[in-house]
Amino acid sequence: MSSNKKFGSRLALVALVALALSACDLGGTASSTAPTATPAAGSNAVTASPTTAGSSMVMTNTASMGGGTAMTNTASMGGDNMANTVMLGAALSQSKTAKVYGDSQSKAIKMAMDEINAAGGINGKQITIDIQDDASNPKQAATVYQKFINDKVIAIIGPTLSNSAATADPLAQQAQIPVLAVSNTAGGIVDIGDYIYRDSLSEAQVIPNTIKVAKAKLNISKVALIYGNDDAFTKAGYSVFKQALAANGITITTEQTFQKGNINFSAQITAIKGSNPDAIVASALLPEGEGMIKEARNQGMTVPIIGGNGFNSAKLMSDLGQQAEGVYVGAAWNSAGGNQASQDFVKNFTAKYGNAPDQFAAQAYSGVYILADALKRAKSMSGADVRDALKTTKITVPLGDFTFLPTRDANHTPVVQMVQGGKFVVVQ
Amino acid sequence: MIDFYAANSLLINLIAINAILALSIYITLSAAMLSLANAAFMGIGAYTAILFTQYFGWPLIPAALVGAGMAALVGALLGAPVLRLRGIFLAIATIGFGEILRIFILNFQPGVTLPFEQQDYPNGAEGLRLPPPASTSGWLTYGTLLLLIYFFWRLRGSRMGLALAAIREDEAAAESSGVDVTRYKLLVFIIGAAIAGWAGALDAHLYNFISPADFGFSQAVNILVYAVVGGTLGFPGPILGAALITALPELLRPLHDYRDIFTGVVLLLTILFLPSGLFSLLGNALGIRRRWQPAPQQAAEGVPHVLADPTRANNDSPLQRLALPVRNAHPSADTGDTDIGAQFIAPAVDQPGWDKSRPYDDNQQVKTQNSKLKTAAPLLHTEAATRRFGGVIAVDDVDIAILPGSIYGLIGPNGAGKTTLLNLLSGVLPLTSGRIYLRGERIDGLAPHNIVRRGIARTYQNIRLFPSLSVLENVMVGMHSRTRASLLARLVFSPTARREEQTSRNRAFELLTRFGLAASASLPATALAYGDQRRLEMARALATDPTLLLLDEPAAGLNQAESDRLRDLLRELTATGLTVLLIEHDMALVMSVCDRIAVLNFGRTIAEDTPSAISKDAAVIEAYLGSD
Repeated sequence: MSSNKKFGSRLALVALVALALSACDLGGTASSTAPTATPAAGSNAVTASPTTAGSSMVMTNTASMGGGTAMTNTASMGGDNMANTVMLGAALSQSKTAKVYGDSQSKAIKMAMDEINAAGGINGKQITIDIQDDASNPKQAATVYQKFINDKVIAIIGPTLSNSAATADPLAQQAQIPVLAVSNTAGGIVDIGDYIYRDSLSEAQVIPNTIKVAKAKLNISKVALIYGNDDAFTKAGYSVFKQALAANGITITTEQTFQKGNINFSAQITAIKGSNPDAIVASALLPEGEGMIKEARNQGMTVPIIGGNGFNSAKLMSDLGQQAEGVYVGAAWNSAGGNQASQDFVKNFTAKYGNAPDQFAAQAYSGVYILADALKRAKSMSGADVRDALKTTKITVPLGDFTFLPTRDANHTPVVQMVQGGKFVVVQ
Repeated sequence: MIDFYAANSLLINLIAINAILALSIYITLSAAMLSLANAAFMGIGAYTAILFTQYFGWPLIPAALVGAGMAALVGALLGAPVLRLRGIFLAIATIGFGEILRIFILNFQPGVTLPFEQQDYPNGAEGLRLPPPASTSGWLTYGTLLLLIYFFWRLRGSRMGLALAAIREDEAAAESSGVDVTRYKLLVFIIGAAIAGWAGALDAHLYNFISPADFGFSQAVNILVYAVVGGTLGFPGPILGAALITALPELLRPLHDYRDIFTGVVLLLTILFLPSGLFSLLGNALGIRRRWQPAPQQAAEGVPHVLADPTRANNDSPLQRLALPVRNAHPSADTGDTDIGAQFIAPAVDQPGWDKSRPYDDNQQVKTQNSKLKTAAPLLHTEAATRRFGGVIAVDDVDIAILPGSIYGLIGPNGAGKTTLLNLLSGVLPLTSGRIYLRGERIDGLAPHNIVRRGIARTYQNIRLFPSLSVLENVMVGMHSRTRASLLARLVFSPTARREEQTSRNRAFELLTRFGLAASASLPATALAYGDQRRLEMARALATDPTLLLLDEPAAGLNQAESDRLRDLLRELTATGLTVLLIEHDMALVMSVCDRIAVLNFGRTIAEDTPSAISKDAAVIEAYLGSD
């Protein structure tokens, strides 16, 4: 009789279903905000298992609640940090969609912290890094930043995703706390302010290089362009690709779009095939990218396929096998070659965690060393002094001999890799 | 305190914004509309407001008002076609709308460039950044929340609030009690859209970033979950739900990886074990019995065919202590009176006031007081009224004419089309062809609530009350078309509105007294016994102040004594000038009260005459008994 009760339980049922749906949907949404690369060359797929991480290490979450409003605090540090520790914050995506990246970063950061502390820390002080989960969500990232600011951390590492950075970094800029992004690739991040640095290469740095190298090697003059138009990362990548193609005098035969979750690319590939390009340029995340490559190969197209950071995963070869051959992709780091620091890092990381590090791990690991180096050189622990020290960074890390550009972006040359014999090979 | 706010301002403000969003869906849910469009309205508000703050340089508040207005406008355009859908279909349609809007934002390129960092507006999937510092403040978010709390507090128990509750309980019954269901649903949908639009504007200017992902499907679901987890039976529920779900992940930070699991478990447990939401838990903990939840033992006793035991009704039930404050409560007629018959009709004679001094009469409602006017023009007549359902002609070319002040009987075998005819007269079903006139004016084609407004009220063969509303509220819903106090008047505590409210309450109480239900006024309708429910439905119909009352088998399920009392009541009513159309199978009743009787068989009128003539009519006898 009680229609109200009926309506209530119906609502509950709908909510339950909706919850389940949203859990699935989050996968889609999250990749939308994933402006960063997928696991890098030569690495196995990251099997994140935090329980194996640094059992010997003590992560202190000392949140020294200090007086003074954090927002107006002009970075008078030190007072609230315990005398013998230097507190840093790291906002990483340890849950939801970008968890696979965040976990990799968090392992690398813990490893770097242990190494630095074992080697004497920062001028005798130990580093403490408060790693907080931003749930792959810009709003939670901002909330985490507010906590860091309130806790008077000296500097912040992260956040994992570019969208989160766009939302959260202005808070740090306003509070004059230096930020070192270790995985953001979108444009505009370092433009947020003079306290925002990054050691990850932006799309705008990687993609033009990829196009330039591909043109020289493959002698292409006309390409088809395909991209996901409902995703921040793929859409931004598309714009950069388009500019780079124009700059290299390569014409576009056709532009095709797709959306997240698409599995049928026959219409797009048919149109692309009809336009007879020398190569296909794709700004896509891995799932749609693989579908697109598969369809192109199935339709008999053997032309090279040039992708953005989204293709930067060993999963590409394991999923597509032979069909992945001839895919070109730009990256910031390749695990195979590199300097001594890189080789040591790969060896130690693999020994410690049981799997090879990916590009995210390399960038995060390097980031801690870059920050530690700046902290050692800084005149004081104030935000402004740390910022100034970062400006003059010159250090050898797994990413290479590292300096910052005047724009606060990383100054190192990206690599271009191609799939050959089932693995990524650096294109010379 | 200030430090605490500064250190947690984002979370604190997000709680308020999510609470506002939860209220935006709560108001649509309160009219039983499951709309998932509020996330999209949030996006409309946000993007519109950003255009005004960033491109035109407006301050946030006027820009957010424009954003809310834009959301309301789109809500009106969307609502008109979509609100015909119910339940899950409405949900699907509104999800579709959200998807359309998302794709629109992804591809919309008006060529507008915002001054801050030369971003294209709306910049598709990449989203828009706004210059710091954030312009949304705690004053704004919590000020809005307080205003909304005030709004919902005043809405409850208001004319509009009752109408919404009635719609939620039973749309058809609400419509035939004079509530303009379509208008209210659209209004509520628009209000929800505006609230969500406003929240979106605040949200965008709090985080200084917005992208289409912020108001996608998952956000639509989040908003619903706030409301469902908090509970939708009262406005504090959604606020509670939003606060909990927003704060929980932050409070559980020390759990690291397990916090999402913990949050998920809390949500599941809530939905499984507290279908009425957290608010109900809080209510129980505080010892508050919600008055719309029937006391179990009373609901269980509602056995059909048993009249209410007046001694039980007089028991001081715990619910009664929470009763609506009834001013000038009429001394109850059934003070333990064991003569149930007297209870049924007695007060009618004792209360000369209620019928004559109808303060709610619309001016045009001049009634024919003289029941002896047999020569007068018919109050209601039909011309060739016809209704087909596919190949079946349920009502076939029926002409009836009902004189004012008379009791007109409508009889016929089961399936003869009696109820269909009544549905045609009350506007519930449209005619296939033919015409219906009330006082010489055509009323066919009017919506049921408009027909109620013109003075035709009805009851249903299967009782249709508003189950979880109180007995008194059920009657007050019937007065909807005779009252006019706007919610605005109530919001500002207008004395006129308060007077009107008080008069309707008194009037409703008088009606209940007249029907012997005064002692049960504060009980939920479902707690009444079967016979009492029938009487309550009649009281509700009379509350619409009708000139013509359509009764669909009012004696069904009544015993002989009760139907005798019903007969007396019908005579009482016509004596006051009311006209009655009576569908009934109880022949003794029909023959004794009706002035004229029409007999339907297979949709056609086979006889129309006085009771004595009908009882001898060969065709009628054949229809009832069959021919040899």
